[in-house]
Amino acid sequence: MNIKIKFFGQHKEELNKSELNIVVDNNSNISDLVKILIKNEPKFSKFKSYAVAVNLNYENFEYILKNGDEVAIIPPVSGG
Amino acid sequence: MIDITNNEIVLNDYMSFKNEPESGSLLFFCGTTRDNNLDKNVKYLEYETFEEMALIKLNEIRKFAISEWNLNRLDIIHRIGIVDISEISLLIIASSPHRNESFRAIEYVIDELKKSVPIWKKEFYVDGDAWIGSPDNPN
Repeated sequence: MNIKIKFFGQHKEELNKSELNIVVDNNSNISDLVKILIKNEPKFSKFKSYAVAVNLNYENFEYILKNGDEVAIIPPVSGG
Repeated sequence: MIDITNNEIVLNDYMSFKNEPESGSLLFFCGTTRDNNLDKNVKYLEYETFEEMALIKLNEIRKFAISEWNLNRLDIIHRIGIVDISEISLLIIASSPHRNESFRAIEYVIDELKKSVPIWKKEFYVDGDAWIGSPDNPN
């Protein structure tokens, strides 16, 4: 399955990219995706504090991905 | 009304209306950029957002607050991009029959915004910069 990952803030800056396309196996969840992400982008392993949103909704790490999902990695927010 | 804007927020531009007839309270809150944080001199801030999702989250917050506190008006305007010291980064306007509802609603909006709306702030100093809010990037 093809998954698009979006990066923001410090993640985007550190990885020097705002998007990444990753292929995962069927029935993969967000935790599986993160493992593959770290293999592709070892620098991401330093980040421990973030949330994830799938197709604009916050989801937990057990969320089962579907082909074409867009996963946003959300660093701690600091608006206001 | 919800808005995320790259433009400077000029308060006067948002004040040229009469309050709702059913309201007895009209409250404006401005979040402005401070020139210091954690003993550092801040030169300016830069905000970034995931706008598509931020608009959804802000609309959810607005809808709940209007219902919870019986508001007749609730506007949330957040600026992104570079914001100089003393400029407005956040404007909230609440109108309600009595003052308590407006105060409570604005406090709720700010608290929720800081918890769930994908907007990020970076501080720029004379000697560097730092993303705010992240234990992964201590400075």
